[in-house]
Amino acid sequence: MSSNESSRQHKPQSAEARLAALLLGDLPAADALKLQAEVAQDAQLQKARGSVESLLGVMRADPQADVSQGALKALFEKSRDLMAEPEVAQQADLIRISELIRVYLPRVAAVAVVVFTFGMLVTKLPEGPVPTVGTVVDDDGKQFIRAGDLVEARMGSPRRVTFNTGEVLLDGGTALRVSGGTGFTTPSISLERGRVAIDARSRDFSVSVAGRSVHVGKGGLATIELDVPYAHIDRAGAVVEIRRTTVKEVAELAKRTWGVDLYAGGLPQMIQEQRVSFYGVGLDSADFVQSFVAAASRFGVRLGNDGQSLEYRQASGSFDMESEQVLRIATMRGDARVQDAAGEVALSELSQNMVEFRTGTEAAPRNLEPERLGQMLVWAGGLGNESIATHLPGVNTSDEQLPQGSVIYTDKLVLHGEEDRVFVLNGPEFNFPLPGGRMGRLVGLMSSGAEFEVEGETAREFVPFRRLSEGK
Amino acid sequence: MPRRSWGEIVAQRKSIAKTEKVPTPTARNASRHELDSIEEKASTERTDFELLKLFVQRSSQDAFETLVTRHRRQVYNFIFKMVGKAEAAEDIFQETFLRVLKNAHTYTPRAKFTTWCLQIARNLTLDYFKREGLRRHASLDAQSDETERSMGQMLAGIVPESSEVLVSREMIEGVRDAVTRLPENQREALVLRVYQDLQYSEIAEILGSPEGTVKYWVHEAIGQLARWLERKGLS
Repeated sequence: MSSNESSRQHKPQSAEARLAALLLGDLPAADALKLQAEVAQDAQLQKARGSVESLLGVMRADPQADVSQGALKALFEKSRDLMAEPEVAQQADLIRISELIRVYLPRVAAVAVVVFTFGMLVTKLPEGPVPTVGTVVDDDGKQFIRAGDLVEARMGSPRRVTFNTGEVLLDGGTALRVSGGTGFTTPSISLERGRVAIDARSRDFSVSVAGRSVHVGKGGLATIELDVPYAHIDRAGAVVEIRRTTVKEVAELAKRTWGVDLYAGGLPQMIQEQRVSFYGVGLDSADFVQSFVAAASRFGVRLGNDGQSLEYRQASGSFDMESEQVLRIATMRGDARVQDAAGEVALSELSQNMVEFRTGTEAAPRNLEPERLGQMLVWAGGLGNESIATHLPGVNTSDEQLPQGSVIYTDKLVLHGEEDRVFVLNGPEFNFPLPGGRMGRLVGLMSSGAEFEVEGETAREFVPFRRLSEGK
Repeated sequence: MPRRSWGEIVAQRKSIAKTEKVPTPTARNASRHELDSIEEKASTERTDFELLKLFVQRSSQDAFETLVTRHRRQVYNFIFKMVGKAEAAEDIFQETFLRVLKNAHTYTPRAKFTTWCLQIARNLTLDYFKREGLRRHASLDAQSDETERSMGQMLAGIVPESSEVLVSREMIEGVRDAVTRLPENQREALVLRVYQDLQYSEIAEILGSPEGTVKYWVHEAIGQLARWLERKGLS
């Protein structure tokens, strides 16, 4: 059925429905432009558009729920019973594995009970019946990870999770879910956002991420970055984490959090929907607004003279609409493979050993430029793992950390102290004071730290950001 | 099956699209040699169709559990967003995969496995509505006071004292509840498009309706919800 035929069958759509079509990108270009022009001149339509945008924002922020372990277990038990029934079992033309299972199940179960009991004896469980599958050691001491746990690392505070089969290093702003695993077997790990380095030191390691499975072979080392919209403000510590959030949403956030009425309605629709990322600690409302406007300035956004409205001045150069989600996977050592519904590929088949996926594109993933691969190496090195640091040619890792209150934009770093100092990425001047009285030039920014070219030296230096707990 | 480069995968996708008249195999047609080679692969390396072949012809419980684990989130989320109750969603989720188990031998890779799964889940969800006598649509005005308050508070800018996640759980749950009051066809289309982020072509296949109609339902659903927000003074 053509769209014309279908539209003849349906009632004329409401303004909100037409705006939904516009915001979902479902309108032909000519219709979209016409509707945008109508909206620009009609306050009611602008209000309706705000409602639709808010609604879509809330719906997209709704996290994916997962079925409970109890329901899964029950399903698997029912499936075993069902497979033992004749009408299902007769589907098997060859080996009747289910029958073997029935025959040997009691013996296997008996052995499993013995092994489990032994495991309980040698593994000290701090509390409760759920077995420990991993540990995290950080400033708060040793913490035990159990199946079902969500492990999060706040911005500026990388963490390291140790499993019996290897290590997972979490960069700041990362969350991963651990499920399954008994303490003796590898748990299932699902990366929900952020960046991790997988060090599969003693056994193969698999991580599910954004509908794909990344398999790291024994002895391999791989990094995965899932860059998705995320926003968090801890008002107690004024910790701000804004990731890939639209200009319009950040303006609304400023109002909700601090009551700062930043009017973004005057910006062109395309600019309102551009995505910005910035982070900071110890920010007040003025700092937040300053950081936000700085991050959005590359799209031509600036603060109006009234200090409340966002204005647009066409930026020099062009920029593309940011994808809602980006997934990057790279190997640094050994083998890693990526599997999705289309099939499987070894990263070693790609130049740069790296692959990138963007939301909404069915096209084949593409290789990344060497510079991006270098960034992946550097941030992983900043996590302080010696084995990873050896993969950083020409980059030292520093014990010194950047000051409390550092604010990171997508392309520059601001330090809040006695004065605001802006260090432009790849700027011409060596104007950043480094330990030992040296001066550095900012050449790379990661959420866990920054990379500097040191004046008069050939080696670069990676400086991690200060941990939040040290500033309190 | 040897590993394939991305170029080969893309070329295969295109060739599949061009060879619609080639008879598609079912999961019960694999040869012994093919099954042996599938079994040599690690679970994560097997495609959905390969897992179904192992399950149908060799009664592999492991293959079934891998399929469930691989697709559980997408299937469960669709059901949960449709019915809005975790307990009912888990029952339908279990029934969906038991139907998959019983009918695995009939599956052909003309449709993606997830599309097939979601079609089964959708049918069972509609059965649930019929069984429970649930016809909640047209009752967007019948939100509970509690939901209105929490939504109103959040959208009016009242934030929790200690910390704040931008979009609060109350807001999300309020909208989620409102979604369950939409007409079924609009609800299905909306959940699959906005919550599940599926392409319209795939949604049309799952719902058995033209793409244009699916788009209309999605737009109407969002329009209804947005007007509901406005009526409540929450936007």
